[in-house]
Amino acid sequence: MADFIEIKDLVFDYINEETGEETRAIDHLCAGISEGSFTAVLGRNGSGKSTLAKMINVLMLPTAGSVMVDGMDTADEEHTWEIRQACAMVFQNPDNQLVSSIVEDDVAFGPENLGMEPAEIRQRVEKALAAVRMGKYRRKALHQLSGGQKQRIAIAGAVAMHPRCILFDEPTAMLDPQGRREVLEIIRRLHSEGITCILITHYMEEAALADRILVMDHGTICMDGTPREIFCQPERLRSLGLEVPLAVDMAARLRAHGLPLPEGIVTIEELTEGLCRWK
Amino acid sequence: MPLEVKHLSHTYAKGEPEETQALADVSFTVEDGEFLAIIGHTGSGKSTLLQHLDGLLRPDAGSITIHGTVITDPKTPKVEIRRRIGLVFQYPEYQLFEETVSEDVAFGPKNLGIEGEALTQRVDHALRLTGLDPDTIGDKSPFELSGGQKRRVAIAGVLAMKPDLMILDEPTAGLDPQARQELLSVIGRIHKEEGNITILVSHNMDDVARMADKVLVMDQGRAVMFGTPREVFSRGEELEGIGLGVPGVTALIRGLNRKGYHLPEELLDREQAAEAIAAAVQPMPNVPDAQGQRKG
Repeated sequence: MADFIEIKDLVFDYINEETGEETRAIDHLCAGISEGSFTAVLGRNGSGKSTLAKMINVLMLPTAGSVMVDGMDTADEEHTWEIRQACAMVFQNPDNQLVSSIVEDDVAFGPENLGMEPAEIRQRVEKALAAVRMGKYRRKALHQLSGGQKQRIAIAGAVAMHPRCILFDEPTAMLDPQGRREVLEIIRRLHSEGITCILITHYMEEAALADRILVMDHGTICMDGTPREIFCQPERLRSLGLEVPLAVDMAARLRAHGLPLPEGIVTIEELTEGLCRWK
Repeated sequence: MPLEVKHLSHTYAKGEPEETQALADVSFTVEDGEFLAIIGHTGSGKSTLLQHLDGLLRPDAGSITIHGTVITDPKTPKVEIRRRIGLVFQYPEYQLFEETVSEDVAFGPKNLGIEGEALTQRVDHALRLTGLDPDTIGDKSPFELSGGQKRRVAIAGVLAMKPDLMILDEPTAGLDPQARQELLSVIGRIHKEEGNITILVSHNMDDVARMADKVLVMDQGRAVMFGTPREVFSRGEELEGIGLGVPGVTALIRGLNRKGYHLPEELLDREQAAEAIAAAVQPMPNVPDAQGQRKG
Protein backbone atom coordinates (compact mmCIF):
# COMPACT_ATOMS: atom_id res chain seq x y z
CA MET A 1 0.00 0.00 0.00
CA ALA A 2 1.21 3.50 -0.81
CA ASP A 3 2.21 5.77 2.08
CA PHE A 4 -0.18 8.49 3.19
CA ILE A 5 2.46 11.08 2.33
CA GLU A 6 4.96 10.30 -0.41
CA ILE A 7 7.80 12.67 -1.11
CA LYS A 8 9.91 11.95 -4.18
CA ASP A 9 13.17 13.64 -5.06
CA LEU A 10 11.88 16.94 -3.72
CA VAL A 11 13.81 20.15 -4.42
CA PHE A 12 12.94 23.65 -3.31
CA ASP A 13 14.95 26.79 -4.08
CA TYR A 14 14.27 30.10 -2.35
CA ILE A 15 14.89 33.08 -4.56
CA ASN A 16 16.11 36.27 -2.90
CA GLU A 17 13.93 38.94 -4.49
CA GLU A 18 16.57 41.64 -4.33
CA THR A 19 19.65 39.80 -5.51
CA GLY A 20 17.94 37.07 -7.51
CA GLU A 21 20.19 34.60 -5.69
CA GLU A 22 18.92 31.06 -5.21
CA THR A 23 19.28 29.13 -1.97
CA ARG A 24 18.49 25.44 -1.92
CA ALA A 25 16.24 24.75 1.08
CA ILE A 26 15.20 21.20 0.16
CA ASP A 27 17.73 19.10 -1.68
CA HIS A 28 16.53 15.89 -3.39
CA LEU A 29 14.56 14.68 -0.40
CA CYS A 30 12.71 11.35 -0.44
CA ALA A 31 10.44 10.12 2.36
CA GLY A 32 7.23 8.29 3.05
CA ILE A 33 4.91 8.77 6.02
CA SER A 34 2.53 5.89 6.66
CA GLU A 35 -1.03 6.45 7.80
CA GLY A 36 -1.52 6.35 11.58
CA SER A 37 2.18 6.87 12.36
CA PHE A 38 3.70 9.42 14.77
CA THR A 39 6.84 10.92 13.24
CA ALA A 40 9.09 13.52 14.84
CA VAL A 41 11.25 15.72 12.61
CA LEU A 42 14.48 17.05 14.12
CA GLY A 43 17.18 19.26 12.65
CA ARG A 44 19.07 22.45 13.34
CA ASN A 45 17.67 25.89 12.48
CA GLY A 46 17.71 26.29 8.72
CA SER A 47 17.85 22.55 7.96
CA GLY A 48 14.62 22.73 5.98
CA LYS A 49 12.07 21.30 8.46
CA SER A 50 9.53 24.11 8.23
CA THR A 51 9.94 24.40 4.48
CA LEU A 52 9.14 20.71 4.16
CA ALA A 53 6.02 21.16 6.31
CA LYS A 54 4.88 24.07 4.18
CA MET A 55 5.32 21.99 1.04
CA ILE A 56 3.20 19.18 2.47
CA ASN A 57 0.54 21.76 3.39
CA VAL A 58 0.69 23.32 -0.10
CA LEU A 59 1.86 26.67 1.21
CA MET A 60 4.75 26.30 -1.26
CA LEU A 61 5.17 24.26 -4.41
CA PRO A 62 8.17 22.13 -5.36
CA THR A 63 10.91 23.49 -7.60
CA ALA A 64 11.37 19.87 -8.71
CA GLY A 65 10.16 16.47 -7.54
CA SER A 66 6.77 15.81 -5.99
CA VAL A 67 4.77 15.61 -2.76
CA MET A 68 1.75 13.32 -2.78
CA VAL A 69 -0.76 13.48 0.08
CA ASP A 70 -3.28 10.63 0.13
CA GLY A 71 -2.61 10.05 -3.56
CA MET A 72 -3.07 13.72 -4.50
CA ASP A 73 -0.26 15.74 -6.03
CA THR A 74 0.32 19.07 -4.22
CA ALA A 75 1.27 20.64 -7.56
CA ASP A 76 -2.25 20.01 -8.83
CA GLU A 77 -4.25 23.13 -7.90
CA GLU A 78 -7.49 21.20 -8.03
CA HIS A 79 -6.49 19.32 -4.87
CA THR A 80 -5.11 22.19 -2.76
CA TRP A 81 -8.10 22.43 -0.43
CA GLU A 82 -8.64 18.68 -0.23
CA ILE A 83 -4.99 18.24 0.78
CA ARG A 84 -5.17 20.95 3.43
CA GLN A 85 -8.30 19.32 4.80
CA ALA A 86 -6.67 15.88 4.87
CA CYS A 87 -3.48 17.22 6.40
CA ALA A 88 -4.00 20.15 8.78
CA MET A 89 -1.22 22.27 10.23
CA VAL A 90 -0.60 23.77 13.68
CA PHE A 91 2.00 26.53 13.91
CA GLN A 92 4.43 27.65 16.61
CA ASN A 93 2.58 30.79 17.60
CA PRO A 94 -1.17 30.29 18.11
CA ASP A 95 -1.70 34.05 17.86
CA ASN A 96 -0.82 33.82 14.17
CA GLN A 97 -3.34 31.07 13.58
CA LEU A 98 -6.44 32.11 15.51
CA VAL A 99 -8.91 34.21 13.51
CA SER A 100 -11.90 34.97 15.77
CA SER A 101 -12.25 36.54 19.19
CA ILE A 102 -14.47 33.82 20.70
CA VAL A 103 -13.26 30.25 21.17
CA GLU A 104 -16.13 28.40 19.47
CA ASP A 105 -16.26 30.84 16.52
CA ASP A 106 -12.61 30.21 15.92
CA VAL A 107 -12.98 26.43 15.92
CA ALA A 108 -16.04 26.77 13.61
CA PHE A 109 -14.13 28.86 11.08
CA GLY A 110 -12.80 25.92 9.03
CA PRO A 111 -16.03 23.88 8.87
CA GLU A 112 -18.00 27.05 8.02
CA ASN A 113 -15.70 27.63 5.07
CA LEU A 114 -16.49 24.13 3.87
CA GLY A 115 -20.13 25.26 3.66
CA MET A 116 -21.43 22.74 6.19
CA GLU A 117 -24.88 22.67 7.79
CA PRO A 118 -25.03 24.61 11.08
CA ALA A 119 -26.03 21.49 13.02
CA GLU A 120 -23.02 19.59 11.67
CA ILE A 121 -20.74 22.52 12.48
CA ARG A 122 -22.00 22.67 16.05
CA GLN A 123 -21.38 18.97 16.48
CA ARG A 124 -17.86 19.18 15.06
CA VAL A 125 -16.94 22.17 17.23
CA GLU A 126 -18.21 20.42 20.33
CA LYS A 127 -16.25 17.26 19.59
CA ALA A 128 -13.09 19.13 18.66
CA LEU A 129 -13.20 21.18 21.88
CA ALA A 130 -13.77 18.00 23.88
CA ALA A 131 -10.76 16.39 22.15
CA VAL A 132 -8.49 19.16 23.47
CA ARG A 133 -10.33 19.32 26.83
CA MET A 134 -11.47 22.91 26.30
CA GLY A 135 -15.24 22.34 26.19
CA LYS A 136 -15.77 24.56 29.25
CA TYR A 137 -14.14 27.50 27.49
CA ARG A 138 -16.33 27.58 24.36
CA ARG A 139 -17.83 31.00 25.09
CA LYS A 140 -14.58 32.55 26.35
CA ALA A 141 -12.69 35.30 24.57
CA LEU A 142 -9.38 34.07 23.15
CA HIS A 143 -7.40 36.89 24.75
CA GLN A 144 -8.39 35.56 28.16
CA LEU A 145 -6.64 32.25 27.54
CA SER A 146 -3.06 31.25 28.33
CA GLY A 147 -0.58 30.35 25.58
CA GLY A 148 -1.12 26.62 26.13
CA GLN A 149 -4.90 27.02 26.03
CA LYS A 150 -4.68 29.05 22.81
CA GLN A 151 -2.53 26.36 21.25
CA ARG A 152 -5.17 23.79 22.24
CA ILE A 153 -7.81 25.92 20.48
CA ALA A 154 -5.60 26.07 17.38
CA ILE A 155 -5.41 22.25 17.52
CA ALA A 156 -9.21 22.06 17.96
CA GLY A 157 -9.55 24.22 14.83
CA ALA A 158 -7.49 21.63 12.97
CA VAL A 159 -9.37 18.68 14.50
CA ALA A 160 -12.74 20.18 13.48
CA MET A 161 -11.71 19.73 9.85
CA HIS A 162 -11.57 15.96 10.47
CA PRO A 163 -8.04 15.67 9.10
CA ARG A 164 -6.33 12.31 8.76
CA CYS A 165 -2.97 13.92 9.47
CA ILE A 166 -1.87 16.90 11.57
CA LEU A 167 1.49 18.60 11.09
CA PHE A 168 2.72 20.35 14.22
CA ASP A 169 5.48 22.91 13.58
CA GLU A 170 7.19 23.50 16.97
CA PRO A 171 3.85 23.75 18.76
CA THR A 172 5.39 24.03 22.24
CA ALA A 173 8.25 26.49 21.59
CA MET A 174 6.42 29.40 23.18
CA LEU A 175 4.62 27.57 25.98
CA ASP A 176 5.21 27.33 29.71
CA PRO A 177 5.92 23.86 31.20
CA GLN A 178 2.26 23.14 31.94
CA GLY A 179 1.22 24.27 28.44
CA ARG A 180 3.84 21.97 26.96
CA ARG A 181 2.67 18.99 28.99
CA GLU A 182 -0.94 19.60 27.91
CA VAL A 183 -0.20 19.99 24.22
CA LEU A 184 2.01 16.87 24.14
CA GLU A 185 -0.66 14.89 25.92
CA ILE A 186 -3.19 15.95 23.27
CA ILE A 187 -0.85 15.04 20.41
CA ARG A 188 -0.36 11.59 21.93
CA ARG A 189 -4.10 11.12 22.29
CA LEU A 190 -4.86 12.25 18.73
CA HIS A 191 -2.26 9.76 17.52
CA SER A 192 -3.81 6.97 19.59
CA GLU A 193 -7.14 7.79 17.93
CA GLY A 194 -5.60 7.06 14.56
CA ILE A 195 -4.59 10.52 13.32
CA THR A 196 -1.21 10.59 11.58
CA CYS A 197 0.96 13.03 13.54
CA ILE A 198 4.08 14.80 12.34
CA LEU A 199 5.85 16.81 15.04
CA ILE A 200 8.63 19.24 14.19
CA THR A 201 10.52 20.06 17.37
CA HIS A 202 13.79 21.17 18.94
CA TYR A 203 13.05 19.23 22.13
CA MET A 204 14.64 15.78 22.15
CA GLU A 205 12.33 14.67 24.98
CA GLU A 206 9.34 15.35 22.72
CA ALA A 207 10.86 13.46 19.80
CA ALA A 208 11.41 10.46 22.11
CA LEU A 209 7.60 10.09 22.31
CA ALA A 210 7.27 9.44 18.56
CA ASP A 211 7.52 6.02 16.94
CA ARG A 212 9.87 7.30 14.24
CA ILE A 213 12.36 10.16 14.01
CA LEU A 214 13.57 11.84 10.83
CA VAL A 215 16.64 14.04 11.21
CA MET A 216 17.13 16.73 8.58
CA ASP A 217 20.29 18.58 7.60
CA HIS A 218 21.00 20.76 4.57
CA GLY A 219 17.56 20.15 3.13
CA THR A 220 17.67 16.39 3.17
CA ILE A 221 17.02 13.50 5.54
CA CYS A 222 20.23 12.23 7.09
CA MET A 223 18.89 9.91 9.79
CA ASP A 224 15.71 7.84 9.88
CA GLY A 225 14.83 5.41 12.64
CA THR A 226 13.08 4.71 15.93
CA PRO A 227 13.98 6.96 18.90
CA ARG A 228 16.17 4.11 20.21
CA GLU A 229 18.05 3.83 16.95
CA ILE A 230 18.53 7.59 16.63
CA PHE A 231 19.43 8.40 20.22
CA CYS A 232 22.12 5.72 20.52
CA GLN A 233 24.28 7.90 18.23
CA PRO A 234 25.12 10.90 20.43
CA GLU A 235 28.24 11.92 18.46
CA ARG A 236 26.41 11.95 15.15
CA LEU A 237 23.56 13.99 16.68
CA ARG A 238 25.97 16.53 18.11
CA SER A 239 27.58 16.95 14.69
CA LEU A 240 24.11 17.77 13.38
CA GLY A 241 23.55 20.50 15.99
CA LEU A 242 21.35 18.25 18.12
CA GLU A 243 21.73 16.44 21.43
CA VAL A 244 20.37 13.34 23.16
CA PRO A 245 17.49 13.38 25.67
CA LEU A 246 18.44 13.70 29.33
CA ALA A 247 17.60 10.04 30.05
CA VAL A 248 20.06 8.84 27.37
CA ASP A 249 22.82 11.06 28.76
CA MET A 250 22.15 10.04 32.37
CA ALA A 251 22.03 6.33 31.45
CA ALA A 252 25.44 6.68 29.78
CA ARG A 253 26.86 8.43 32.86
CA LEU A 254 25.43 5.72 35.14
CA ARG A 255 26.90 2.97 32.96
CA ALA A 256 30.25 4.74 33.28
CA HIS A 257 29.78 4.46 37.05
CA GLY A 258 29.45 0.70 36.65
CA LEU A 259 25.69 0.24 36.64
CA PRO A 260 24.74 -2.46 34.11
CA LEU A 261 21.76 -0.61 32.65
CA PRO A 262 20.24 -2.12 29.51
CA GLU A 263 20.79 -0.35 26.17
CA GLY A 264 17.98 1.51 24.46
CA ILE A 265 16.79 3.72 27.34
CA VAL A 266 15.38 6.98 25.90
CA THR A 267 12.78 8.25 28.37
CA ILE A 268 12.94 9.17 32.08
CA GLU A 269 10.28 6.51 32.73
CA GLU A 270 12.46 3.78 31.18
CA LEU A 271 15.51 4.95 33.13
CA THR A 272 13.56 5.04 36.39
CA GLU A 273 12.25 1.54 35.71
CA GLY A 274 15.76 0.31 34.90
CA LEU A 275 17.15 1.70 38.15
CA CYS A 276 14.28 0.41 40.26
CA ARG A 277 15.05 -3.20 39.38
CA TRP A 278 17.75 -2.92 42.03
CA LYS A 279 15.49 -1.45 44.63
CA MET B 1 21.35 48.37 46.82
CA PRO B 2 21.80 47.73 43.09
CA LEU B 3 18.27 46.61 42.11
CA GLU B 4 15.56 46.96 44.66
CA VAL B 5 11.90 46.22 43.96
CA LYS B 6 9.67 47.24 46.85
CA HIS B 7 5.98 46.49 47.36
CA LEU B 8 5.21 46.75 43.66
CA SER B 9 1.50 46.54 42.77
CA HIS B 10 -0.35 47.02 39.52
CA THR B 11 -4.00 46.63 38.62
CA TYR B 12 -5.29 46.53 35.06
CA ALA B 13 -8.68 48.06 34.17
CA LYS B 14 -9.17 49.55 37.61
CA GLY B 15 -12.83 50.07 38.52
CA GLU B 16 -14.05 48.12 35.51
CA PRO B 17 -15.70 44.70 35.57
CA GLU B 18 -12.59 42.99 34.21
CA GLU B 19 -10.33 44.54 36.86
CA THR B 20 -7.30 42.27 37.38
CA GLN B 21 -4.54 42.62 39.90
CA ALA B 22 -1.48 41.72 37.83
CA LEU B 23 1.10 42.47 40.53
CA ALA B 24 0.46 42.30 44.25
CA ASP B 25 3.06 43.58 46.69
CA VAL B 26 6.13 42.20 44.89
CA SER B 27 9.44 42.80 46.67
CA PHE B 28 12.93 41.45 45.98
CA THR B 29 16.54 42.61 45.81
CA VAL B 30 19.25 41.66 43.33
CA GLU B 31 22.88 42.34 44.24
CA ASP B 32 25.35 43.83 41.79
CA GLY B 33 26.73 41.20 39.44
CA GLU B 34 24.01 38.68 40.25
CA PHE B 35 22.15 36.62 37.66
CA LEU B 36 18.42 36.40 38.37
CA ALA B 37 15.95 34.11 36.61
CA ILE B 38 12.22 34.82 36.70
CA ILE B 39 9.86 31.90 36.15
CA GLY B 40 6.08 31.69 36.15
CA HIS B 41 3.32 30.36 33.90
CA THR B 42 1.61 32.55 31.32
CA GLY B 43 -0.47 35.13 33.17
CA SER B 44 1.51 34.89 36.41
CA GLY B 45 2.51 38.55 36.28
CA LYS B 46 5.99 38.01 34.81
CA SER B 47 5.44 40.21 31.76
CA THR B 48 3.82 42.96 33.79
CA LEU B 49 6.83 42.91 36.10
CA LEU B 50 9.18 43.18 33.11
CA GLN B 51 7.25 46.14 31.74
CA HIS B 52 7.70 47.89 35.08
CA LEU B 53 11.42 47.14 35.16
CA ASP B 54 11.72 48.62 31.68
CA GLY B 55 9.73 51.72 32.62
CA LEU B 56 6.93 50.93 30.16
CA LEU B 57 4.33 50.71 32.94
CA ARG B 58 4.02 52.68 36.17
CA PRO B 59 2.92 50.88 39.34
CA ASP B 60 -0.14 51.75 41.45
CA ALA B 61 2.11 51.40 44.48
CA GLY B 62 5.69 50.53 45.30
CA SER B 63 9.00 51.38 43.69
CA ILE B 64 11.93 50.10 41.63
CA THR B 65 15.39 51.51 42.28
CA ILE B 66 18.53 50.73 40.32
CA HIS B 67 21.85 52.12 41.48
CA GLY B 68 20.01 54.88 43.30
CA THR B 69 17.80 55.92 40.37
CA VAL B 70 14.12 55.47 41.14
CA ILE B 71 12.79 54.35 37.77
CA THR B 72 9.20 54.31 38.97
CA ASP B 73 9.41 58.04 39.81
CA PRO B 74 7.52 60.01 37.11
CA LYS B 75 10.22 62.70 37.37
CA THR B 76 12.97 60.32 36.22
CA PRO B 77 13.61 61.08 32.52
CA LYS B 78 12.81 58.20 30.16
CA VAL B 79 16.22 58.45 28.56
CA GLU B 80 17.78 57.74 31.96
CA ILE B 81 15.70 54.54 32.21
CA ARG B 82 16.62 53.51 28.65
CA ARG B 83 20.30 54.04 29.43
CA ARG B 84 20.24 51.95 32.59
CA ILE B 85 17.97 49.13 31.57
CA GLY B 86 18.31 47.04 28.43
CA LEU B 87 15.46 44.74 27.47
CA VAL B 88 15.90 42.02 24.86
CA PHE B 89 12.38 41.09 23.78
CA GLN B 90 11.18 37.65 22.69
CA TYR B 91 12.24 36.86 19.12
CA PRO B 92 14.32 40.06 19.00
CA GLU B 93 15.58 39.21 15.49
CA TYR B 94 12.26 40.48 14.14
CA GLN B 95 13.19 43.95 15.33
CA LEU B 96 16.38 44.30 13.31
CA PHE B 97 15.81 46.95 10.66
CA GLU B 98 19.03 48.70 9.59
CA GLU B 99 20.90 47.94 6.38
CA THR B 100 24.02 46.64 8.07
CA VAL B 101 24.74 44.80 11.30
CA SER B 102 26.94 47.64 12.60
CA GLU B 103 24.30 50.29 11.93
CA ASP B 104 21.70 48.20 13.72
CA VAL B 105 23.87 47.82 16.82
CA ALA B 106 24.78 51.54 16.69
CA PHE B 107 21.15 52.70 16.69
CA GLY B 108 20.72 52.79 20.48
CA PRO B 109 24.02 54.44 21.49
CA LYS B 110 23.62 56.99 18.66
CA ASN B 111 20.32 58.03 20.23
CA LEU B 112 22.22 58.60 23.47
CA GLY B 113 24.39 61.10 21.56
CA ILE B 114 27.47 58.91 21.19
CA GLU B 115 29.30 59.28 17.89
CA GLY B 116 32.59 58.89 16.02
CA GLU B 117 35.32 56.62 17.34
CA ALA B 118 33.54 56.09 20.67
CA LEU B 119 30.49 54.78 18.81
CA THR B 120 32.54 52.41 16.63
CA GLN B 121 34.29 51.09 19.72
CA ARG B 122 31.04 50.41 21.52
CA VAL B 123 29.55 48.64 18.53
CA ASP B 124 32.61 46.47 17.96
CA HIS B 125 32.89 45.63 21.64
CA ALA B 126 29.21 44.67 21.82
CA LEU B 127 29.45 42.47 18.73
CA ARG B 128 32.60 40.74 20.03
CA LEU B 129 30.93 40.04 23.36
CA THR B 130 28.18 38.17 21.54
CA GLY B 131 30.77 36.14 19.67
CA LEU B 132 30.42 37.95 16.33
CA ASP B 133 33.39 39.38 14.47
CA PRO B 134 32.70 43.03 13.53
CA ASP B 135 35.27 42.90 10.70
CA THR B 136 33.64 40.05 8.84
CA ILE B 137 30.00 40.60 9.77
CA GLY B 138 29.67 44.33 10.46
CA ASP B 139 28.92 45.38 6.90
CA LYS B 140 26.57 42.52 6.13
CA SER B 141 22.82 42.90 6.03
CA PRO B 142 21.34 41.43 9.23
CA PHE B 143 18.90 39.54 7.00
CA GLU B 144 21.71 37.45 5.50
CA LEU B 145 22.50 35.91 8.88
CA SER B 146 21.22 32.71 10.48
CA GLY B 147 18.51 32.82 13.14
CA GLY B 148 20.99 32.38 16.00
CA GLN B 149 23.31 35.09 14.61
CA LYS B 150 20.44 37.56 14.15
CA ARG B 151 19.49 37.04 17.75
CA ARG B 152 23.05 37.83 18.82
CA VAL B 153 23.00 41.04 16.78
CA ALA B 154 19.81 42.05 18.59
CA ILE B 155 21.46 41.34 21.95
CA ALA B 156 24.54 43.33 20.87
CA GLY B 157 22.23 46.28 20.11
CA VAL B 158 21.07 46.26 23.71
CA LEU B 159 24.58 45.66 25.09
CA ALA B 160 25.90 48.68 23.19
CA MET B 161 23.77 50.84 25.49
CA LYS B 162 25.94 49.60 28.39
CA PRO B 163 22.95 48.92 30.61
CA ASP B 164 23.28 48.39 34.38
CA LEU B 165 20.55 45.82 34.08
CA MET B 166 20.04 43.56 31.08
CA ILE B 167 16.76 41.67 30.80
CA LEU B 168 16.39 38.75 28.37
CA ASP B 169 12.87 37.50 27.70
CA GLU B 170 12.95 33.86 26.50
CA PRO B 171 16.22 34.33 24.59
CA THR B 172 16.53 30.68 23.51
CA ALA B 173 12.94 30.08 22.31
CA GLY B 174 12.88 28.39 18.91
CA LEU B 175 16.64 27.72 18.73
CA ASP B 176 18.06 24.26 18.03
CA PRO B 177 19.98 22.58 20.88
CA GLN B 178 23.41 23.67 19.68
CA ALA B 179 22.40 27.27 19.02
CA ARG B 180 20.71 27.27 22.42
CA GLN B 181 23.84 26.06 24.22
CA GLU B 182 25.97 28.61 22.37
CA LEU B 183 23.66 31.49 23.16
CA LEU B 184 23.54 30.53 26.84
CA SER B 185 27.36 30.48 26.90
CA VAL B 186 27.39 33.91 25.26
CA ILE B 187 24.93 35.26 27.83
CA GLY B 188 27.03 33.81 30.66
CA ARG B 189 30.17 35.40 29.25
CA ILE B 190 28.53 38.80 28.78
CA HIS B 191 27.27 38.69 32.35
CA LYS B 192 30.74 37.86 33.67
CA GLU B 193 32.61 40.42 31.58
CA GLU B 194 30.19 43.32 31.96
CA GLY B 195 29.60 42.55 35.63
CA ASN B 196 26.09 43.94 35.38
CA ILE B 197 22.85 42.49 36.65
CA THR B 198 21.25 40.04 34.25
CA ILE B 199 17.63 38.92 34.41
CA LEU B 200 16.58 35.88 32.40
CA VAL B 201 12.90 35.14 31.90
CA SER B 202 12.47 31.55 30.82
CA HIS B 203 10.13 28.58 30.63
CA ASN B 204 13.12 26.27 30.38
CA MET B 205 13.97 25.04 33.87
CA ASP B 206 17.23 23.45 32.72
CA ASP B 207 18.45 26.81 31.40
CA VAL B 208 17.42 28.48 34.66
CA ALA B 209 19.22 25.87 36.77
CA ARG B 210 22.37 26.29 34.70
CA MET B 211 22.52 30.08 34.57
CA ALA B 212 20.96 31.68 37.62
CA ASP B 213 22.33 32.68 41.02
CA LYS B 214 18.80 33.41 42.23
CA VAL B 215 15.35 32.41 41.03
CA LEU B 216 12.16 34.43 41.48
CA VAL B 217 8.93 32.47 41.09
CA MET B 218 5.79 34.41 40.16
CA ASP B 219 2.23 33.16 40.59
CA GLN B 220 -1.01 35.14 40.42
CA GLY B 221 0.84 38.42 40.56
CA ARG B 222 2.82 37.49 43.65
CA ALA B 223 6.45 36.61 44.24
CA VAL B 224 5.86 33.19 45.80
CA MET B 225 9.45 31.93 46.00
CA PHE B 226 12.85 33.60 45.91
CA GLY B 227 16.10 31.74 46.42
CA THR B 228 18.96 29.84 44.84
CA PRO B 229 18.11 27.31 42.09
CA ARG B 230 18.79 24.52 44.59
CA GLU B 231 16.37 25.96 47.12
CA VAL B 232 13.65 26.68 44.57
CA PHE B 233 13.87 23.44 42.58
CA SER B 234 13.83 21.31 45.72
CA ARG B 235 10.19 22.44 46.07
CA GLY B 236 9.08 20.48 43.01
CA GLU B 237 5.58 19.71 44.16
CA GLU B 238 4.72 23.37 44.76
CA LEU B 239 6.21 24.32 41.39
CA GLU B 240 4.09 21.75 39.58
CA GLY B 241 1.07 22.96 41.51
CA ILE B 242 1.47 26.40 39.92
CA GLY B 243 1.94 25.13 36.37
CA LEU B 244 5.73 25.04 36.36
CA GLY B 245 8.19 22.19 36.39
CA VAL B 246 11.65 21.20 37.54
CA PRO B 247 14.87 20.62 35.58
CA GLY B 248 15.18 17.17 33.97
CA VAL B 249 17.71 15.96 36.55
CA THR B 250 15.38 16.93 39.39
CA ALA B 251 12.46 15.17 37.70
CA LEU B 252 14.53 11.97 37.48
CA ILE B 253 15.59 12.14 41.14
CA ARG B 254 12.06 12.86 42.32
CA GLY B 255 10.77 9.91 40.30
CA LEU B 256 13.35 7.64 41.92
CA ASN B 257 12.52 8.93 45.39
CA ARG B 258 8.84 8.16 44.79
CA LYS B 259 9.96 4.56 44.16
CA GLY B 260 11.70 4.39 47.50
CA TYR B 261 15.14 5.93 47.00
CA HIS B 262 16.32 8.72 49.31
CA LEU B 263 18.34 10.91 47.00
CA PRO B 264 18.98 14.62 47.60
CA GLU B 265 16.46 16.56 45.46
CA GLU B 266 18.57 19.71 45.26
CA LEU B 267 21.20 18.15 42.96
CA LEU B 268 21.12 20.01 39.63
CA ASP B 269 24.38 18.93 38.04
CA ARG B 270 24.09 15.81 35.88
CA GLU B 271 27.39 14.27 36.95
CA GLN B 272 26.76 14.90 40.65
CA ALA B 273 23.33 13.35 40.26
CA ALA B 274 24.82 10.33 38.45
CA GLU B 275 27.33 9.85 41.28
CA ALA B 276 24.63 10.04 43.93
CA ILE B 277 22.38 7.61 42.07
CA ALA B 278 25.25 5.18 41.40
CA ALA B 279 26.25 5.28 45.07
CA ALA B 280 22.68 4.59 46.17
CA VAL B 281 22.23 1.71 43.73
CA GLN B 282 25.74 0.23 43.73
CA PRO B 283 25.60 -2.15 46.72
CA MET B 284 22.64 -4.00 45.28
CA PRO B 285 23.33 -5.15 41.70
CA ASN B 286 23.50 -8.80 40.78
CA VAL B 287 22.15 -9.74 44.19
CA PRO B 288 18.51 -10.36 43.43
CA ASP B 289 16.36 -10.88 46.50
CA ALA B 290 19.33 -10.48 48.82
CA GLN B 291 18.41 -11.59 52.31
CA GLY B 292 19.73 -8.71 54.36
CA GLN B 293 20.02 -9.35 58.05
CA ARG B 294 17.29 -7.61 59.97
CA LYS B 295 18.25 -5.30 62.75
CA GLY B 296 16.72 -5.62 66.16
